[in-house]
Amino acid sequence: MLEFLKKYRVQLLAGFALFTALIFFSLNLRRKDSTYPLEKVVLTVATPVMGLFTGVNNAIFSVWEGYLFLTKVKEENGRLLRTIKIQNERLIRGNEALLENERLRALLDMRARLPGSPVSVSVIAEEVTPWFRTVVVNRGSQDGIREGLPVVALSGIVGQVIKVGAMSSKVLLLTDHASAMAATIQRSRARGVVKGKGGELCSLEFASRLDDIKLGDIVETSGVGGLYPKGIPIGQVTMVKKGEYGIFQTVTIRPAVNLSRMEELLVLVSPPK
Amino acid sequence: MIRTARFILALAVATLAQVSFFPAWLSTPFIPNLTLFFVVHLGLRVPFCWINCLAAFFIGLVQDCFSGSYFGLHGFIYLFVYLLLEQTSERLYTDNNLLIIMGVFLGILLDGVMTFCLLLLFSEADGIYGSLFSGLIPHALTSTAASLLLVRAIPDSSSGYAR
Repeated sequence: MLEFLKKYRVQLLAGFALFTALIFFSLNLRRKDSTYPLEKVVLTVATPVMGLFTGVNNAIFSVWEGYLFLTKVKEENGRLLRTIKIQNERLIRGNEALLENERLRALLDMRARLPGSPVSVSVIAEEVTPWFRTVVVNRGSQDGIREGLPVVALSGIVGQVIKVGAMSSKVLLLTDHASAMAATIQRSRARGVVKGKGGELCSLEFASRLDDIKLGDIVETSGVGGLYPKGIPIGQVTMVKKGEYGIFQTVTIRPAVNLSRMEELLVLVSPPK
Repeated sequence: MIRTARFILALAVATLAQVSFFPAWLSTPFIPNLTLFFVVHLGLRVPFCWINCLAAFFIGLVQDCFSGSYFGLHGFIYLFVYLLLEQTSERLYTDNNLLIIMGVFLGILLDGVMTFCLLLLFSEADGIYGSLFSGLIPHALTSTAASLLLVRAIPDSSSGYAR
């Protein structure tokens, strides 16, 4: 027996390590909605650097869009185009400021309409693996954010906060497979549960075959469950399929928010009870 | 010591770049997984010790901090990948860079398959297989391409260790 243990010591210890890791993972499944100290530390430490990366990205974008293109043209056309470049730069900056102004003004309007005291956040990191859908935002427990709070954008619901660090938080997008929210069809008031399908789509589950659901219908939060406020747009019905059998129909929804291009979001710090 | 510090620094930069730099330029399935490269590197190039097991597990946990909602999932998977590579590395010519690149490609595929199996067994994320398997190959290919650059960028990984 001792010889066997000696001979296969490494393999046995490796097996034990794997088993321990598996137990660790399975135990954590019960506490999916709470944040571990390690996660808090990593998010807190990483936030300033992620902000730096976002800044670099923005700088590269603005250089590419506002300068390089025009510089190339300048080389081709000389003095005349140098004038155009300057004017264009001013125009781009003006348009950019105008668009940003409109976006922020709309966000402020929305903030005033929403219940509680929403906190505005910016996306600083996105999901790596193609099978999960999460983003990291630049506000955390220091700003009153906690696990379970709903997150919205200008055009509708985005998801909910699942992990919170001191200065940043992780948001589970509504298209993630683990996401689910009570919903209603705006026109017919038919009810169901919107679940993520991965990619860019969601599905409306548990919608009865008899329910009146049509292509193009707006789906909004029903307020059932108390997590999400009532009446926030989730998306639009893009496919309705009724089989010959079964009590439910298959409904596919395209989210109202373009989840791959998000910048400013709002976290509803005091959702309705 | 310096080698370890460089390894940790490279890992930190790669982890942060993959979550905050690449997503601005690449769409979802094409964002490379750079952290797995370091696990493969540990498994194939660094002599076995239990600290490396912990390191692989920890790299997985850090990945979990930014990815998905299942804390410990990548911890387990990366530990498994590390032990698998470590146990087979005796029979392989580990100085060959191509082996690391192939290891990353197979590691990503294994990551996808194990994610699917673990979530099937322990969770109720039904339907995940659709997005998982449709995005797996592009994700593996871009990660492999990124590891081609990393293997040249990190001098340690091309010089090798005495096993």
